[in-house]
Amino acid sequence: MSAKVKRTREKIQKEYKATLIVFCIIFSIYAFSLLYPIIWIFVKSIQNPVEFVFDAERFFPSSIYFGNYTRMVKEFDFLPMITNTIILSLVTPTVQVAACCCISYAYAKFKFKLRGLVYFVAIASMFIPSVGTLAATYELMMGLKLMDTLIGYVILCGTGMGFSFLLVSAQYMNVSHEYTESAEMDGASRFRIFTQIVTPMILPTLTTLWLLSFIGVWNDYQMPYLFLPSHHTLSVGIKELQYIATQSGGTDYPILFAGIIMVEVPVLILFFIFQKKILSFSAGGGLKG
Amino acid sequence: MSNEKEASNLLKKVDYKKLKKKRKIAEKVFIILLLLYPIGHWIVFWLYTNLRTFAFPFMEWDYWEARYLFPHPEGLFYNFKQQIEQFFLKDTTGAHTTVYIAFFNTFHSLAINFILLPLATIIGFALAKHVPGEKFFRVVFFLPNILSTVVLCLAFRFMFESNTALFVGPGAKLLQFLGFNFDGWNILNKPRIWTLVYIFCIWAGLSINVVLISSAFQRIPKEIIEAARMDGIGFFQEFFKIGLPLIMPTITTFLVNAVTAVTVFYLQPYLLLGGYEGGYQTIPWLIFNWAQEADQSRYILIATIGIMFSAIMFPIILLARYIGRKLTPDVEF
Repeated sequence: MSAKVKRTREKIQKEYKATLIVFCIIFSIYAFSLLYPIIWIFVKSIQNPVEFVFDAERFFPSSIYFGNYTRMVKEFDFLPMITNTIILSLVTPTVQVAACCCISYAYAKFKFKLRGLVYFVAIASMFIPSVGTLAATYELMMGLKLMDTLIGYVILCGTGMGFSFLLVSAQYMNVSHEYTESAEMDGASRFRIFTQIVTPMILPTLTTLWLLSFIGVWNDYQMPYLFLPSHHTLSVGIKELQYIATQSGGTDYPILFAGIIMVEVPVLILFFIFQKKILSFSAGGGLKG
Repeated sequence: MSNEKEASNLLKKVDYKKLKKKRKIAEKVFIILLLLYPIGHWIVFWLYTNLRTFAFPFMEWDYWEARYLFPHPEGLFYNFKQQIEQFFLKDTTGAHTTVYIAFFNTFHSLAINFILLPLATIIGFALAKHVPGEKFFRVVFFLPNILSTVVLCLAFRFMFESNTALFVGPGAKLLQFLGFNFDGWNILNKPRIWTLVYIFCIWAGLSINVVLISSAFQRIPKEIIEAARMDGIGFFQEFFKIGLPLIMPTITTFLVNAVTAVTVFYLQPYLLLGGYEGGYQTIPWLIFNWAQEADQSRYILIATIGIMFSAIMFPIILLARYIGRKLTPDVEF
């Protein structure tokens, strides 16, 4: 290799590294822009409201004040909201994952006449845009007397089609038939093979699916706002609180910030515990939480 | 010996055909039980609602008798005709109708995604090239996908709040410090509001797109990259000549998703503007508002506009898919 070629390669390598450093700086600015609002909201949530309004230039509070959190819990229906959110976030993903397991297992493990149709049904919602179906859904929910009931929300959102179906059915297909056959030889029923032998083998995928669905339901705004008008969830409640805070002349803003922190802390804790699983799952499966 | 004989006699007595039939029936019952809830749910909440939505535009709501009339007494396509006629109408001040304004506002989503996608691709590529602190960035970039859209919108709004009666947010302070004449969420300043909506959507939307696209880049075999590096390829050459062509199928999927996203674009401007409607509504926003009115004639209107909008979007989505496929080189790795 000539010295000239070597020098050119070294130059390119240096340029490559320099480009990465430039990107590192850009990434740092972007990461800061993502973290700063959360930190700012947290700091302001433990600031005395009077200090927040009259000493706006101060970033850190002169003393830590938890009054905003207690006021949020006592004055703004926090307990019913968090109860509704917890119930929906625990039950809906469970129904979704169970429904997804049922259809995926039937599709992956059995050969039957309408198998092709089942596949179409499971992925139809992915490629047919449904603009305007909200009216029909609203009318249907009223007709079924499911409007404004928690069970109505669970039933409406309790489906496991689309990406989850593709992912879970692929996982079921990967489980060898030998396990099923030997379980059958031992006299296990089909239900037992499904629930106690094959499904536990894909539990890591199902757990991550459940977690992402939990986060999705916890953060959902549109469906609870439309279909649970008198059972506010935290996302809807926080949005409503914005109006109250605006009307207070600024003093209620720290309470709103306390509410925001209380809404997001459980989700953030879950994310940081399961970040590896969630990140690798989302990156591999292309599934948006 | 006698035991063996007894066993063979027993086996002879077993009717295999009957047993096989019984097993088949049991399997069918099991499959039906497995499919009962998911398919039933799909029939009720997807198929029925879609069919109902297709039927609505051909009906009229009779207020006196409180029932739907099918077909519409003025003609089967009356609702469509009426919407097309009203679309181009102007009021006495020369202002367009809400639907007309909302229709064009909806396409801001397309513009946002066309800025977002190339940005996410180049950033995703850099992230895949092991930028120092890559793991940290991956976790932080994923955060907007974990946080509620309501919270993100509120946080962004606070950052650029500039109402001196309430408070001035840090972002607004920074802009004012840099010499910009920034007065926050001034709803009369349309270009400003849309710029803020664009910035928000890109700021919050980059995250998941960057993480997913960088994962696609990381799936390219290392041997290909190493061979190119040996030939002295630079960062941007590697991006344009190797990385991008190899992940084009992923980019095509993102392109189609970006176009499809137009059909659900409302939550970001709706939440950032605190529900203020004047001139900022999009078609999904109108549908969201009308659905809450629980008025049967509104249901007809929602379905008519929804179907007309889908009919416009469908060829655009197909075109995006076609362009994506055309741009995808015929390579496998």
